Amino acid sequence: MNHARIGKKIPPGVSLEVEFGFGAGVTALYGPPGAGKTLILECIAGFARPDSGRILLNDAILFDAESRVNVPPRRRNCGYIFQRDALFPHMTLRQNLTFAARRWPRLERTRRVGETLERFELAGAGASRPREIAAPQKLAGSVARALIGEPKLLLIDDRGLDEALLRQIRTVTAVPILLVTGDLDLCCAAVDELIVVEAGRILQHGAPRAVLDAPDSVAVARLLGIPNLFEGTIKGLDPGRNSSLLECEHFELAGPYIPGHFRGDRVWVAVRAEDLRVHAGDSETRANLVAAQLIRVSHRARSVRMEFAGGILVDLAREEFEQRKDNKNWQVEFPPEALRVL
Amino acid sequence: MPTDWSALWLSLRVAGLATAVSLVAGLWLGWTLLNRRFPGKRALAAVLSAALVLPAPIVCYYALAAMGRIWPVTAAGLVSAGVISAAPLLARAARTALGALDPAYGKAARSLGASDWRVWSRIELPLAARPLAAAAGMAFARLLAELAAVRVIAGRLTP
Repeated sequence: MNHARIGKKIPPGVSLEVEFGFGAGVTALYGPPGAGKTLILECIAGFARPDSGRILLNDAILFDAESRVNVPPRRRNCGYIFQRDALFPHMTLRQNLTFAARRWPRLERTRRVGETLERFELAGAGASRPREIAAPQKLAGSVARALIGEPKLLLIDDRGLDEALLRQIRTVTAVPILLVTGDLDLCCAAVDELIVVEAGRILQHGAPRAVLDAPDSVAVARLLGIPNLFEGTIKGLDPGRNSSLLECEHFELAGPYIPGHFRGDRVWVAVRAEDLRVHAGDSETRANLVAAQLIRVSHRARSVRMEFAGGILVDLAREEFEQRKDNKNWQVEFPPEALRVL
Repeated sequence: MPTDWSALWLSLRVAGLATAVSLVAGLWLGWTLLNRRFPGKRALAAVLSAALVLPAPIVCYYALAAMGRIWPVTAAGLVSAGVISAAPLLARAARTALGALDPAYGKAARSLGASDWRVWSRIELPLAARPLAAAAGMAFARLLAELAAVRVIAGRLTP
């Protein structure tokens, strides 16, 4: 069992209070800067000492505040990849790996270092010092150095790891990986569990797709980048027709039935910007079609974001926007299946 | 008349030996002040800083005066006085040089299973070697220049 319960005061007046288990796959810690993600990794690695709690790795106690057990970092066998490059600058890449492979006899060590350099396509850079190699090679070198010692857990701080390298790591080792990242695409593509952290607390924990599709709270929705959040009142509920009616400040929305709520309850409605549709003109009147005034347009790498009055944000494909950009009047459609009630 | 090089040779030997001993003591003091918590840590740091602002001949003179009552001034006495004078300088330099290192290197080494000694000898010391060598060079030059003067002053202590 891998489990961490960590309590730590972080001056001034902030504290980290988290408890979570993690399995053999990749677990991502996601949250804004200053949420405590790196501190969680440091507590597990032994670089920071929690004030309270318990940390178990493969059922072995790494830290227990009550029994005053605190295994030093060098005995925890946790590979750590830092946010910044931490390859030893006075050693070549091969020497960096050799340093990490010290526990094997000389011949075995040499073989392992050679194999690891080959596996991460670093054989050509083995004789180079870190300052002489490119950033992607440095990252691969850091990963190789962390893995050559066969750690029981791999901790990766937010280092811009891409999906390909993460998959490569999974082919090399089956150890649990705890990853700090701000990349939701990476979470969806290559992560087994997602933990959303904010201000030293875990807000939600689950499979990435499940968390993204059903955020528990407005805070999680905001952190996951859902920009359309409207507070409203449940005006109608019909379980027979599987429908509900929500009254927001500027418009009414029809959605699916909301279990566990009553008429008159205050709720939040979350809708992704890419799930909304826009229509030209203002003559059409049907459910969930809201006339809105376009305030601003901002061009993004792959889409165009349209900002309407009332805080409605819509992401359109660039081609679609080019076809409609001369419209004077706009209507925004809220598809019922896109509404998430929090 | 042949030149007598013995005075220069003695000064070089004394300054060299005092610098070497001071470097070891300074490294230990600097590392301890940086990494260990103990009662009187601030007082020790203050004493080292005070020793830095006092002119080396005065520090050496009082050190020799304290020892001169026990034994006559010898090369060993001069080395001891030199160490008392140079060790604070090197302790401060070591503390600064080691403190300026990115802590990620030490953490990385520990996460790879390295002991404190291995982290120190293989990572921290090589990375801090340049500023430490510069500080040792300065300490040697300072001792070489000032021990001669001290020897003249301290000569009065010998019976």
